[in-house]
Parts: sequence; C-alpha cells; structure tokens
Amino acid sequence: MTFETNFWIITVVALYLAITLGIGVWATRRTKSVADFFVAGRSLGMFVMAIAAFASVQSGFGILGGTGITFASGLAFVTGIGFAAVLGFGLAWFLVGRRLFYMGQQGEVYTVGDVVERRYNSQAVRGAMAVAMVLGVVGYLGTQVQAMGVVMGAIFGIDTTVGALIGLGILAVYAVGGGTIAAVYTDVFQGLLMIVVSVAICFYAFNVAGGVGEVTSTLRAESADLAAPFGAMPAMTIVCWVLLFAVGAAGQPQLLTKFLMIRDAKQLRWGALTAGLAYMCTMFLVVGVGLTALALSLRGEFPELSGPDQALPAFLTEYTTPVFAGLVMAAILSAIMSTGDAFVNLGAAAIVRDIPRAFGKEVRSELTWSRIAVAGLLIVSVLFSMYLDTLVALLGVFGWGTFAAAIFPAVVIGLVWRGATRQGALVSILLSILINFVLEIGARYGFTPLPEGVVNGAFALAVSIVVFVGVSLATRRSDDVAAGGEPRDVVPVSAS
Amino acid sequence: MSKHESDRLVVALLVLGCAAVAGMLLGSWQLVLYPSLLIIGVLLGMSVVRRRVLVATGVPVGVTALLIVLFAVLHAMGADSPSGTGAFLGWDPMTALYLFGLGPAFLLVGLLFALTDRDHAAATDEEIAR
Repeated sequence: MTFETNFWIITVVALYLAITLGIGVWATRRTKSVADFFVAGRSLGMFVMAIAAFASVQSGFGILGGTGITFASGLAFVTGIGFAAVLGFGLAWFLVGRRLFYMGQQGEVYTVGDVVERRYNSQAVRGAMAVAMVLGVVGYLGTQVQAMGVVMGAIFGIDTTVGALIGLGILAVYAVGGGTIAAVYTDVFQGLLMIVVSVAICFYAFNVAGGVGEVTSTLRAESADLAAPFGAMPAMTIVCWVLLFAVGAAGQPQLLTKFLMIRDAKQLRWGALTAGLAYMCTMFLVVGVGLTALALSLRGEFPELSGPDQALPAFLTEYTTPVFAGLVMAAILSAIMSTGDAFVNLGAAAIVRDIPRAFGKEVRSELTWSRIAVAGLLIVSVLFSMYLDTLVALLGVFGWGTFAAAIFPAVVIGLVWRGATRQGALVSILLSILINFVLEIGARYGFTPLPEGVVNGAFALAVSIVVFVGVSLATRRSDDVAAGGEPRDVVPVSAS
Repeated sequence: MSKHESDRLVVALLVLGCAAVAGMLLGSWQLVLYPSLLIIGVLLGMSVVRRRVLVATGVPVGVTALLIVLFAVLHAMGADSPSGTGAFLGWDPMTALYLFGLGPAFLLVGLLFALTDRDHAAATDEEIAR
C-alpha cells in the first residue's frame, strides 16, 4: 500500500474507533446499577434492540470468515448459514420474545442463568448453564481477539498481538465502564455501519468483475458447483448448517438476553423483521466480495493468498479506494467488537451472578465485581489467544454449537412447553457440552465417527432436543412431585 | 398452551428430532433436511398454538409448506449435482431460486411475527390469566 492509501484507511478506522470510544464514555456515565450493567436498565426501543441483536450475532466469523468460505467454496456459507440465521431471528421472536420480556418484568432476571433457575426452580440447572456459558464465551472471545489482531495488523501494519491489544484496550474501556448500555449503543453504531457498507461494497464488487452474469460465467467455466447454491460443499453440510443456524440462532444468549432489555412489549413487533433484514444486508458483502474475488482469482487477476480469510482484505486493498477500504475495515472491526462486547458481558454475568448463585451464594457489589470480571475475561481471552492457540480455535468452533445445543432446548422449548422438567434440562445441557467437546477434540486427533459432511454442532443440537423432550416426558411426574406441583410458569401473573 | 396440544407437538418434535439424528448417522441429507424444516414448523406451531385458528394453523403450516416446496423444487432442479445451464438475472437458475425464493421465505417469519403480533399479545395475556 502507498503512504496515501495507508493514511486514509488509518484515518477512517481511527475515526470509527474514536466514535466507538465516545459512545462508551457516554454509556459509562449512564451505568449506575446492576440492571443498567446487565440489561441496559430495561430501556431499549425496537430499533436499538433489533440492530444490537443483529450486530451481536453477526461476528468476525460471519463477515471475514464468510467471505473466505465463499471465496473458497462458492455460495455454501450464504445459503447454509446466512439465510438460516435470518429465519432464526423470526423463530426467537415467535417462541420466546414475549415470554422472556414478561419474565424480565418479574424482578431481577438479568441472565440466561436467572431464566433457567426461575423456569425450573433448580440451582443445578443454573450451574450447568453457567458452565456452558463460560466455556462458550471464552471460545468466542478468544476467536474475536485473534480476528481483531489480524484486522488491526492489516490496517496499521503492526504485529497481530499488538493490534489485538489495542483493539481490546478500546473494547475494555467501554465494556468495563458501560457494560450492556455501552455494548448495545456501540452495537447500533457498528451495526448500521455494517449494513450500509455491506450493501455498497456488494454492488461495487460485482461492478469490478463486470456484473453478476460475468461472475457466473467465470465460475461455471471452472465448475458448475461454484455457481450453484450449495457451492462446492457437500449437501449434508448445508442442511446441517440450516438446522444449526436457523434453530440454533434462537438459542444464542447474546440474542435471548436482548428480550430482557426492552422497555415494553410493543417494542417486539417489528424487531424480528428489522434484525433479519439487517443480517441479510451483511450477506450482500459476503456474496459480492466472495464471488467477485473468486472470479477474479480464476481469471488470474487476484493476488495469491496465504488463506481464504485474506480474500476480503486483499480485495479492499487491490480494488477499492482508500476511504472505502477504511470503511469496510471499520465494518469488519464492528462485527468483531459488537460480538466481543456482548460476550464479555454474558461471561461476566455467568461468573459473578450465575455460578455463585448456583451454589446458593450471592456476590455483594455485583456491579463492581462485574466490571472486574469483564476486565479479567478480556485479559484471559488475550492470554488464551496468545498461548493456547489450539484451545481457542477449539472453543471458537465449540461456541455456537454448544450455545445452540445447551440453550435452545432448555430455555426456548422449556419456555413454550410446560411439560419440560429440570431433569430434561440438566441432562440436555450436560450432554450437549460433552458431545460438542468429544466430537471437536476428536476431530483434531482423527476421530470422526459421523459421516462426511455432518456438522458436529448440528448433531449435538438434534440429540439435545431429542434427549430434552425424551427425559422430560419420562420424568415429568417425578419432577412435579419434587417441585411440589407443576414447574414454575413461564410468564408472570402480574405482567401487563 | 393446553397440555394435550403441547404434548402432541412435543411428541412430533421428538420423532422429527430422531429422524434428523438418524439422517446424520446414515449420511442422508434428505433425511436431515425435511425433518429439520418440519421441526421449524412444529416450533412455530408451539409458539402460536393458543392463537386464532387462522394464525395457529396458517403460520406454521404455511411457512413449513413454503420451505418444503421451495427446497423440493431446488432438489428436483439438482442442487446437489448442478447442471450449470441457463441464467436468471445473471445467476444460475437454482441459485436465483435460493436467493430470490428461499431468502425472502426465511425473512417471511419475521414479517409474520409483526403482522400477527397483536394476536400474539392477546394469546399471551390469555395464558397469563390462566
């Protein structure tokens, strides 16, 4: 890159980081209670909640990794993951949106752990859920740290570790002080940036390659698969992704906890459509840049890459203006930071609130300790990403699948089905952690018991649903007796 | 949701979940896809079971039927072994079906939530009153 190119990219990204920091400082001044820190004081309107929900679900994996997979394999990522996640927003709103909102009105319900303890009247279920949360959060944060290092390094021309530390330092400033309020409002800024940039770069990219028709012709000349909806991926992988990302999206904690943050039930109405549309807009970037870079590469007009994840940065530096490149780089950082800030708060909640309460203890000064936990999680995630690279990669893969398999049955089905029991919840949560760990660790050592193309997380989710329902049906009577009657209702009697 | 209605749907969920697991173990993507689409329908059904008949039936049945038909057409066109002929707006025809048919169909669920939200609120209030 020339000095001028570098200057403009750095200027745009620095401006983005400064605005993010400014929102964080403003949010810190507004954060005065535990409710502010964990559920943004239950003050969110529809638009803020929906955009924050979409932004926290759309991660660096979705933008940077999705473009890389599209560059390597065609449209598989978009058809299997991108569109399915859009359906997931609708499912979440239908199944638990109103129920979680009403539950949040019952009192101090701030976390997924609070929800399951209230639902099943069981500290054991809360404890198991907290374990799943901490494992998933560490994995997610570690991968976000690594992605941040790669992007910051590419932008500022610095070492990836230094880049990760700078990015995390900024995230820490607003996440420690402003908690969820900071996370939500920075997410809105970051989410809107992602939407606008994604749509613009898609049209720009196809124009570079001569239009959609030219791109399709180039891909077909190489292989018909590359222009087909499933790309070069096995059909089994695509359908597993559809299950995991449509149904599993409704089990992601960064989405579910947003329902506890809205100010009234009327804010739910247009949220699913808004969040789904926003997520779909970001798929424009993945489709446009991924396919264009692939077509240019097949024509011999694209630089050699060290890996598919370099496709997006390489396209930006080779084919766009510096300001545009800076905006897209800022959008990639937005995807990473908006997921990172959501997870750091979820992790802090699990550590400070859910684990102690699972043992019948309550932490005094939860607000202070939550801030300390956020700082601690960020430090741990940096150390993990620097020194336990393999573990981070493992937990990163483990994250979405575990959240889907552990949370969806116990929380989502549990809230719409009164017959669900604590035994069903407990067994399904623990089994989902076990299956995901065994299959993911096994895969690294050549142990792949499932047929080719089957996605481990989808298998864990399907088994978890079966086990949750089966065990609940088998233990319903004993659960009723143990609880002194029906399990606690899913909505409060005082809701209005 | 009444106990009988919810139990029927949950048993359907159990059967479909078993089918999807079997599909994964047998390596049959069709045996994973269609039960998965039906699982989505059952879940939608569980969420709207106490609403007006039009919503309680129309939303889950309509969405599931639409997704199954679109995937079946895609399957028939050979999504798993593309022919690579023809074009629609510059896209491969199967890709166009996915982008302009299935994409909006996935988004439809969010729109249906907005259109039926008033009904949802009434049903939830009724559930609270019970």
